[in-house]
Amino acid sequence: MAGKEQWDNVYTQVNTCALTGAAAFFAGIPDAAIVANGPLWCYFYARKYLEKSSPSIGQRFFCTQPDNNAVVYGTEECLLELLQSVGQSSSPSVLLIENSCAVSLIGDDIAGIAAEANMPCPVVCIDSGGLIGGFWEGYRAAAKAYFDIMPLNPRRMVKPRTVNLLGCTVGYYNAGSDLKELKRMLTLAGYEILAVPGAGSSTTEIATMAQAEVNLVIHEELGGNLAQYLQQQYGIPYLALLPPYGIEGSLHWLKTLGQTMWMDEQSLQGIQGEANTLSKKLRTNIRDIERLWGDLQFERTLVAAPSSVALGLSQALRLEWADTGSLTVVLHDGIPSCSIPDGMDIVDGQKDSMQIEGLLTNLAAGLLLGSSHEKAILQQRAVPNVICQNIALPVCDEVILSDRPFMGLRGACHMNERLWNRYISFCQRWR
Amino acid sequence: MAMNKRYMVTMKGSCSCSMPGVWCAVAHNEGAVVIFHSPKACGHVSRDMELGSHYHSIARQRFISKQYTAPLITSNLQEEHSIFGGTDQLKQCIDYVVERYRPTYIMLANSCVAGVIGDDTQAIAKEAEEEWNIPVMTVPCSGFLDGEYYAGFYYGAKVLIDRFMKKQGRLANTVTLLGTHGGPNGTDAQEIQQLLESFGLQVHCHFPGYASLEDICRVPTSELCIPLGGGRSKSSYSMRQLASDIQVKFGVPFLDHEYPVGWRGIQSWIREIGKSLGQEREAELVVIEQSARLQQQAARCRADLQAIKVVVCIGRPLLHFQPEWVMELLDLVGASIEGIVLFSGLTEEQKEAMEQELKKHTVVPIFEEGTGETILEAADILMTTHELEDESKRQFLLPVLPPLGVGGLIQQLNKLARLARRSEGKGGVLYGW
Repeated sequence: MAGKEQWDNVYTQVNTCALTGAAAFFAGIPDAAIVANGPLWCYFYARKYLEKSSPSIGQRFFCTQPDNNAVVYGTEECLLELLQSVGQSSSPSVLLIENSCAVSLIGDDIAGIAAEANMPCPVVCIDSGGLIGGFWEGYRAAAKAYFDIMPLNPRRMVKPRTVNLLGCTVGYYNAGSDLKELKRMLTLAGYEILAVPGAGSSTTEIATMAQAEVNLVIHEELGGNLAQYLQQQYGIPYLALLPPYGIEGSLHWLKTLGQTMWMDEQSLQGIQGEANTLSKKLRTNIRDIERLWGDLQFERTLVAAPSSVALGLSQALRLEWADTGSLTVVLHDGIPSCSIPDGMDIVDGQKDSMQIEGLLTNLAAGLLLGSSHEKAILQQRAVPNVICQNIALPVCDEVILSDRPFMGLRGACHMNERLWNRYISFCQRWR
Repeated sequence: MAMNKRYMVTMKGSCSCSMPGVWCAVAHNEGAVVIFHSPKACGHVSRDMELGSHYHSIARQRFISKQYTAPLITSNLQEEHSIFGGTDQLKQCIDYVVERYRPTYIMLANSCVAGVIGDDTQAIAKEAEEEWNIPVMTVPCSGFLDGEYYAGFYYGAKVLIDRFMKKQGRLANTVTLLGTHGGPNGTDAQEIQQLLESFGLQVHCHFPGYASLEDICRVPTSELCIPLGGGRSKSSYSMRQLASDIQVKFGVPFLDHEYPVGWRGIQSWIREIGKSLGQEREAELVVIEQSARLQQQAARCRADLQAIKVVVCIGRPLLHFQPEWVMELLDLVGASIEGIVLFSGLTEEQKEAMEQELKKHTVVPIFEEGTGETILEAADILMTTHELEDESKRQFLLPVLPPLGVGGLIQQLNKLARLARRSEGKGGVLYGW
């Protein structure tokens, strides 16, 4: 084959633009505003992506709409005009100005233009078009840029049993419910969460982060770099684990955290009690349904999602929920630096397009945990009898309106419920 | 009633990109491969569009599996290429694509990045073609810089015309439909097909999308080309331009007439077809038949709609929305239009142009957003181009693409009637597509 680089069919891959990823981080800061310094097309795409999880994003996400002349003369005029309008109509605590691809090549002094606009808040300026990369690159760049401009209160006194949650985002599927469950479990286990930057904490809350005992990284592909940075800058230690899925998975996650923070075993009493009750309930109900419908077993299973979600969920699936047969995990963001659990074959979702196509084509009578994207490929190739469950964006064929997480103890119930009900519906489909 | 609107942005210029247009022009053409000379993310954006279309067709039971979808490859421009240029990267990408995917032809689309860098993609395309002996074509657009979606679509189709079509003898009673509009199984194509069958015409080709190389070569044999494209939009303009190009090159006439939108438009279109074929009598019969079809449905809906007070709310400029068919539709069922509100997101020029257009079709009072709140309160249904946040009223969201033919109007009437039948006190939005 010509050259060393491989060019894969985008059709088999899941990603967005860095513009969206950067906007996602700031969308998760309720008192932040965002200006996309680029064309409406890029802005509309990012806005649509974020709107389901942040319905009011339209009120604080703006677009400069530069025309062809801006490529020659710069975006100063349209950017100034918009900044003046933003300054008059809202009072954000921080403003992100993110440049799209073409605008980032022009070389405008965005910080200088923002200073000229005399904005009443700190302004974070980054190039964040597709040249930077996709969603994950954009999020990481925006997070780093935020903390460069918005320093934390000094780490003078560490509050015991406090954590920050890093790498959370409004841009993951069902993220709101998952975060709620994480907070609930941590609180039950005796921790206090100081801040979750990029997923609901205000600038004031984020400013207190340095007082936390530990930074807990939930999605390493998003928060790993940030954790390292905050450790270097403020001395906050961090712990990066796969997110908690399943009952045993959640208990293991909490125990590992407890060991890191020198918590005694009593702190887990409440959560252990809940886990015991749920286990009994699950066991009773599932055994009953198994007697009628058989067990949940598949020859082939494919899990496709961002790496932390895919790996964490695959663990729970394999160890607690189903007999998975051969288990292949497609990592939407590519191969991570963290260690990969045993018992699964890993595929780089940003490359290996032929392999991904092959896996989907051969998934007949199997299980797919993924997104509407993989499901569409199954439909287009008329691959029969695959049970599908959405765990990652993009999602076009399902809606979750109530608080039903995938993570944690409640998530274990919810996921079992979904898997079993899908399986039972499949068995009953009209022939 | 508050008039906070979802998705309302004052559009100062372009709102789309030419690359997805290029993609759509050949996305389902057997043997095609599309390369975006762009960062990788641009490919994902187009892929998301395609995903939406896929589920849209499933939702309406129009999906066909195992249809060819062209591989979409991006050259993966990165920051380093903005300094050193991306032509080497593009050439290597093309070489890889030829070896791996064995395409019949390659369509290159340029991103705004490629345009700003100044990469000579045409030269690379020529070099690659000479080396591999397969057509490698490109278009004169760069992302959002040199035209929008329809420019990409038009030029994508134009290069296919210039490259593959040859003058041939005519096949009697055959028609090529120009434009995509949901594909050969979409309601628009089906509606047009049925109308054409009334004249003994057969659609033997859809171009540029859903066309194999054999189909593309068949276009010049058509007796007539019919552009699909609503109203006076860029879509309509670009399809008529394409039709004109085919006529100039191959002598295939096209129906140079307003798209069949609204009952007046439909009649006029049918008569124009009749005139162009020398079948004026048949055309009148078709008009009578379609009139009966429409009146039958209108009669069914009249019971629900004739007492309804409607306010029409407009936030799209005239380029993207022509209101005539809406006025006509409401008049057909005897619904009372209490007034028209022009949203504040329109510029002053856009408001003036829309007002002038509206006055050609109605004497109903026209209000600015600031003064229109009173009539909104009194309305039973709001027919609107933009969703209002306040869902206490029943809102009918007007489609961006106007409904085609009597089938399209019937679909709108049925939905409107269903909205009118909603329980009193229950508001909400019903989408007109």
